[in-house]
Amino acid sequence: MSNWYKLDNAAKLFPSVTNSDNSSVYRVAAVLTEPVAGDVLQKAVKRTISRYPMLFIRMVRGVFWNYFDSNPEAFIIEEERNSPCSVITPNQNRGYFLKVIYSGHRISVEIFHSLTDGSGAVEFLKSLLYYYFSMLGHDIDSEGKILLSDGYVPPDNMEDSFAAYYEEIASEPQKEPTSYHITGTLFDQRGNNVTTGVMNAGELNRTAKAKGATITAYLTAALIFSIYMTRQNYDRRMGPIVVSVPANLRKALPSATLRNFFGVVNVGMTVKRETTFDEIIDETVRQLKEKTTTEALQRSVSRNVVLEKKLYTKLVPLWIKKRVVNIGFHLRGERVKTITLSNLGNFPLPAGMSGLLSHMEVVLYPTKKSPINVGVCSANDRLTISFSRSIQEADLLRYFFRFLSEQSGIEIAVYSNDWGVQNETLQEL
Amino acid sequence: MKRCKNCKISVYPQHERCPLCGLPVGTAEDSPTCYPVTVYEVKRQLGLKTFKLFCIVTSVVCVFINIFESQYLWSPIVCAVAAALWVTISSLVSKTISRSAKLLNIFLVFAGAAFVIDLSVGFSKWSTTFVIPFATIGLTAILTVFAIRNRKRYQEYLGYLVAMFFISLCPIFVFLLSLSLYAWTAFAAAIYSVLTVVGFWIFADKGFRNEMKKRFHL
Repeated sequence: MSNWYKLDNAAKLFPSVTNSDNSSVYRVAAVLTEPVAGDVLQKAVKRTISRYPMLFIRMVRGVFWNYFDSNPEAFIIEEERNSPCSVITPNQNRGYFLKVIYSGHRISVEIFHSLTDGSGAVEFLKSLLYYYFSMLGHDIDSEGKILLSDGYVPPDNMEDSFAAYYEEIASEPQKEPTSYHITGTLFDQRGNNVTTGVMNAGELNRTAKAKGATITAYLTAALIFSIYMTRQNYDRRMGPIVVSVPANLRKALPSATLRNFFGVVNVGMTVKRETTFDEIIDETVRQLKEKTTTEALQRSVSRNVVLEKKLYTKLVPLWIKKRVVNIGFHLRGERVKTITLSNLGNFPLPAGMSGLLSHMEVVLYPTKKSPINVGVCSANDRLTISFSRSIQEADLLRYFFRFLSEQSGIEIAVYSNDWGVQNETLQEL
Repeated sequence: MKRCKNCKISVYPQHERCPLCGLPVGTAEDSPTCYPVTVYEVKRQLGLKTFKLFCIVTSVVCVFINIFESQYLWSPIVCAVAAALWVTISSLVSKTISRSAKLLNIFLVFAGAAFVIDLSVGFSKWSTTFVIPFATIGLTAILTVFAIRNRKRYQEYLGYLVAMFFISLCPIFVFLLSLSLYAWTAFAAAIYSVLTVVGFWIFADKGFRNEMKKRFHL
């Protein structure tokens, strides 16, 4: 890609709110059945890059807005040595805002959220795995489920779909109550603990369906219930428990973009001592249905974009915009949510790839006000729920997995990177 | 797969203890889900921290002595110099910011320090008349040299040159507010900056215009 392009609406947010407490870096990863060969992975990345020019770019500071520009530096993969979802410092990463990391059986892609959302990241990881396995000598039919590097990138993959779906509306102030916030003791060493639960996707789907819910609604309800039982029930701080659920807008508003195109749906309620889990499920299902209609999502796109279309917004210098956006993020984003649960759904894989990987993981970045976040995905009929946290307390995770196991009767197996728990090697600089 | 009796959850073989409750579940074994042993980089930076403390202590002590022991207001000079030295050293040792950003930081903090010192010694306007305009010219010249020496990547310096262009206009406003003595130093800084832009316009030609289009896009 030789040309530059403007940041989309979501991409403009993240540079303003990123700091050491909020990396804006998420991870999608695949756990393979065999150990990863680093040299082959580097070749596979080189092969895949041309299909994803929107990811292998640098972000440059302009006078009024940042913009994306081509990056002439070579892209180098690296062995995993830091905590997941650490801040990406472009000066130390050849200007890139993306990392391909490997260790043992795991291939991870860590992406600064300005580049793309979970859907784009998953497509990239699938293409990367396809070329990695192919270069190892496996004969895999892509079955139309993989974006192949054939030298052509359709223009609609590069589209700014926020701009495409923007309809002029009057900007309306949104008044949402301050939500309940999880607090805890930060790890002595700054970093993220990731604890993942693996279970059968089909069984969980059947359990959710039996309750009249989708997997996302069921897990959201379980999370609200767990937060109440482990936290709010004891510390008595008021406020609704609100789960922020990123929604893939491509499902409601047709788009083939590989850049950001997501909205955020806040689902929550004030839980009382007598509130039952079934009541929480019903309310969650109702709110998710109501807030994810095409009209509601279309309105949310317009609401988000309307401000950046105003001439007075455009003419404000970037360094002022950054501060205003930061305040807006805390008032409209962080203040009104308790936790984020992002379900990237099922990753459709070609049959030839299924036997070569065990499962996938999605890891979100915790933030100061939301120190525990949850990433969900499934592949090979194995669903993973990954809790990433920057605080020591694991009571919420413990209750959630135990509750889920008891409620659904599903066998859940957990593992963790044990960050903050044991034996990090200390290396003085 | 192991079993945690407390959590009633299976645990992957890599763990000696349940990741949820911490109770023992058996001997650790290899597993595809293993994470690597994480290297936590402890940035001690003892020298930098000592210097920071030194700057703060010196400033506080000087302000304290100044308030109670002297009619003449000299402590702001110490505070300004301490702040300038602190920003300079921390910028120079930083690994996360570029060379140009370091220089810009140092320029801004020394310009500020010069202004504070000038104010503290009676404001004869030497900082606003000479120091700041000529420092602006100096930094613009250094950034120009960087850009010329890295011709293939001169775009990396353009952002800072644009910033310097706007900064170099400030002495004119300062003069209009009667905060500096002579107009010529202020205009010299602005004209030097304009000529730098013209030079890039001529030599970098279309590339420069494209870069400006990107930098100023709305």
